[in-house]
Order: sequence, then C-alpha cells, then structure tokens
Amino acid sequence: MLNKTLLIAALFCLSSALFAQDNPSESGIRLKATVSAAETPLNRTVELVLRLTWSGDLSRYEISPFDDPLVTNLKVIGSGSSNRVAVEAGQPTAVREYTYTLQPQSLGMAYVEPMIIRYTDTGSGEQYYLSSGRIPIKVVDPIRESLLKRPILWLILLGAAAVIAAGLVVRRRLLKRKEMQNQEPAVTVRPIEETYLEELRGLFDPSDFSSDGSPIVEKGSRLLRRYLQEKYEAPGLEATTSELCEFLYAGGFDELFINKVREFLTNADLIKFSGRTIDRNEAVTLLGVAEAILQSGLRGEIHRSA
Amino acid sequence: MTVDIQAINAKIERESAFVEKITSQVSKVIVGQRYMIERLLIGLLSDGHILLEGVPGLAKTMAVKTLSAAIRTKFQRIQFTPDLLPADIMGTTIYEQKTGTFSVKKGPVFCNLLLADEINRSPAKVQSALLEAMQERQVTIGDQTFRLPEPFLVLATQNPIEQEGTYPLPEAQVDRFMLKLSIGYPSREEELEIMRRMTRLETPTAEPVVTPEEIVAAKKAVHEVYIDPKIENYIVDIVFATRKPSQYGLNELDELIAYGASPRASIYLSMASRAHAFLRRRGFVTPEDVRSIALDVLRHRVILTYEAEAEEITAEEVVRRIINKIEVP
Repeated sequence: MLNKTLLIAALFCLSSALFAQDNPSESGIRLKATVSAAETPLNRTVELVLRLTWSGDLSRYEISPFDDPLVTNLKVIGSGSSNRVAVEAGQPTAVREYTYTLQPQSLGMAYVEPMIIRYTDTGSGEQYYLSSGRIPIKVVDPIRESLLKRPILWLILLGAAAVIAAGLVVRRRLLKRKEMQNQEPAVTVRPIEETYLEELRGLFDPSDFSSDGSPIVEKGSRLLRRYLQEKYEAPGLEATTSELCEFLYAGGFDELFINKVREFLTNADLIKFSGRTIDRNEAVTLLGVAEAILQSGLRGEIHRSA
Repeated sequence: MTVDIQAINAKIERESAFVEKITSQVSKVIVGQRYMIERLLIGLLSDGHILLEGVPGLAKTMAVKTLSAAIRTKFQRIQFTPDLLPADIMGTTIYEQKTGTFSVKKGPVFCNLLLADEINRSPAKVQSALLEAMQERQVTIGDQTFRLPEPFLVLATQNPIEQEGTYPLPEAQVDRFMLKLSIGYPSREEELEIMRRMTRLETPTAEPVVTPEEIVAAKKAVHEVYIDPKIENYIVDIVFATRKPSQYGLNELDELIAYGASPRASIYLSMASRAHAFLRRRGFVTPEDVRSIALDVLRHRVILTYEAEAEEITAEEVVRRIINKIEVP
C-alpha cells in the first residue's frame, strides 16, 4: 500500500516536472483541459472539457480508463466522451474529448484538481502519462431566475390558455345554438289523419253533378287502405278486406275500430265489385264511416294491446 | 253498364241452395278436408278437372266417392298401372260372332265423376288418351264418337313422395287441370274423430241429395255470376306477373321463373273465382274469391328455373309472393 502511494506521488512529481499544463507529450499527443467559464453563479453549471489530440489515426494511442476528475466545491453531475478525426495543416489529427458537467456547491473558489491520464503507444507498446493543471473557478452569487424560464410556469400558462380557449369555443357554440333556435321556426308535426281527412273531403267535387257515387266510394276505400298502410304498416293495398281485418285482429287493435273498418270496406267492396251504382248521398253516408275512423285516429282513440 | 245485381243475387241464392245439403252429406263421412271438398265442388261447377296431390290415406278417394253419392252421379275409379291401355279407359269395339258385326264396349270413362288414381303410374299414351277426353269431353271408339255425360269431372291423384317407376305428367298436360290441390294431413282433433267414426260397426254413408240436372243448372248460374272489369284486370295482372314479374316490382322473381302461366290460367282463374263466389252464395266476384283460389290455379302452371330449384324455392312460394304483391282493386 505504501509502495503504491509512493509510486503515485513519484509519478505525480515526475509528471508535474515534465509536463506543463496543456503541453504536448514527447510522442506528439496533447492534453488540453478547459472550463466553459472561469466565474460562474452558484445556480449555473460549468462544462469541463478534456481534449486529447494527436496526429495520425485514432488507433495510434490507446487511452486507459480513468475516473471522474477530482473537484473541490463542485459536483460532477454529468459526463460524456467523443472521438473524431480532423485534418489540421494537411495532416489527419485524432481528437478525443471528455466532457464533464460541474455543479458549484457554495460561494467562493472551486477547483478542478490536476488529472493524470495514462495512454499506450500501440506501435511500441510503451506507456506514457499526461497531466492537466489545477483549474480554478470562482463561484459568485446566484443570478435571479427569470420566471418565464421555469417550465412549471409555462405549463400553468399553457393550461390556463387551453381552458380559456375551450371556454370561448363552448360559449360561442352555445350562443350560436341559441341564435339558431331563435331563428328557426317551430316545426309542428301535422298528424297524417289531417292529411287524409283533407283528401277525403276533397273527393266530393261540388261541381260534379253526376248521379253515380260509386267512383267516390272506390277512391275513399283506397284512401282508407293507404291510411292503414301508412299509419299501422298494414298490407292495405295488397290484402283483401278480410285479410286486412285479420291483420288488425292479430295486431291487437280494439274491436270497435276493426268493425268500423270492416263495415266500410265490405260495403265499399259491394259497391266496387257488384256493378251497382249508388247516388251521391249514399256515397256521402258511407264515406262518413271512413271519416269517423280517421277522426278517431286523430283523437288518438285507436288503441292496440301490447 | 248497370248490372241487375239484385236479380243475379236472387238467382245465385236459389241455385246454390244445394251446396249446404251436399256439404252436410259429405261431412257425415269425411272429417275435415273442407278445403278439398270446396275445391271439388268448384271443379264440378266450373267444368274444371282437378289434380290432387297428397300422400296415401288422406281420404282422396273417399271424398270423391262420397261427393258422387251425394250428387247421385255415376262414379268410376281407375287405378293407373304401367300395363294399362287406352282402351281400358275409353272402351273398344268387340266383334260379335252371332251377328258378325262389331259392337262398342264403352270404357269406365263414361261416368260423371272419374277418379284416376295415381295417374303418373301409366305411360304417356294412356295419360294422353284420358287428357284428350277431358279436353274434348267426347270419346271416339272405332268410327263412332260419343259425348261424355254431363257433368263430367276427372279427379286425378299423384303421390308426391314416390318417383320411381312413374311417368310424370308433361307440363302441357298438367296445364289442362284447372286446379292442382295439395292435400295435407288432418288436425289432431280431426284424426281422433276419423278414428272413432271409421272404427264403428256401421260406417256412415252419404245420401243422394242433388241430381245431376241441378248441377247442370248450377253450372249455368255460375256463368252468370258478375265479374267486374276491375276484378278481370286483377286476374290478368296476377297471371302477367308470372310471366313478367319485374313489371310488377318483383325483380327477384325474374331469375326464378322459366315459364309463366298460360292464358288458360286466366280463363280458369276467372271461372274458379265465379264458382267460389257461387259457393259463398254471392252474385259477384270479389278479390277474396280470386285470392283464395289463385294458388290452386297457378301452382302447377309456373315453371321454375334451375336456379329456383337449386335454391329449393317452390312454385307455390313464387305464386304466393306474386299474390301478396299485386295490389287488389
């Protein structure tokens, strides 16, 4: 243990004596240690860059692994390394960089202690050492943080803006809907019975003085069948009178309604298919049954069991 | 045109009085089968022969025999077999040794009601001979032509479940039957009653209540039943829809029907509807009459395509769709 310590101390003295800071080694490899700022506020960080350069390709020297730099009043909070080959004065030059992020700990002076880097010449197999000097950094009072630089504030501001924007959109939509409701006229659904009643009344042409009322009955019969088809989805136009009544029975309609339908359609069939002619008064009387059916539909008096 | 419907109704009322008597006599023997009995009467009243299709044991023969007994008519039953000859039905000329002349021996076709049992078991020449008699209502034996008696009705039966060793009736010959009836099984209650009635020591029989003359008079009355042009158009619409379904909004049937019904269908549908109205004791035809008989008139006249057969769609189903689609007048 003692021998090891003595060896390190001897090497340190030797290197201090042989190499100045950033000076090139005998073999042409150079070490340069720099910091991003010689003075830094307490609430900022400093970048320490160790740059090794040598002419030739990267494989000419093998850099032995080394620990993080020893620091005083600083804390290593991040590190990284990179290799590249550049051309300097027409010669290819290999560059290897080690970067450390240092966080000051307290006001006053801070130091990056000298570093010793061991490397091997891959050609000869011999080992050499490089060292950097002690780098001082002055830590001064922290600077005041701009409020806008705090992410949390940005998040709060963005959130508030989003809420306000959403509120505006909703308010605009509500206003628009209200405006549309005010503008649109109230849609009233006209019961289909009214349409059919109007059509039924229109069958009687006051200017028609013909004595035969059977065409009116025929039209009235078709009208009622259309109504039953539209209102109750009955096979009004394809089914015979008895089939239609059977459908209504099966549908659970009340018997009074079915009897009225049967009465009207049976009488209408009699007139339509027997070749009989009837006078207009008789036709009016018969169509009165159809009108009564439509009226009861209008009043909602047609019931069906579930 | 003004029709004196009161007079027609009165006449129909009078002439159709026997219907109830026949029905009650037939009901003494036959349980249920009202549909078949009614169709037999329709055939009888409108000169239309009937093809009955149904499995054995459904009282087809008994119904015809009972109807014949109730009408006091001559009934004959011929069991069609593969070795039957036309002469076995029509009759033949026989050489009389004593007189040295030929005399005519009339066959069983000379009757009022002829039951051709299992008509599809005899070859085409026998079927054709009978169908000719049905159409012409006369039979020629040797050099003599004989009119068949009035009324003359052929009721032919077919068994739908046996096809081996049969000679199916060609479409043209099936078309000569006015109605093709599909006879179904009786209900449970009816079967119970059949069992009780037919296992008694003395089975019931029908009494003759109508004469053939009354039937002939009723046939004339049937021709007088009023059929409105609206109904005639409805009939033609139904028949045309079997030929050109797409014109009636039945595009899906275009690919299913190979041949629609012939004009004979319109004639028979009109006649059968009149007879149906007559049985209802009504002097005019309504769409109800047409619809209730249309299936029996059309089911054997619509010839389906291979596509329809592949999809197992029956002619009956096609006709039903047509009837349910065509608007009633």
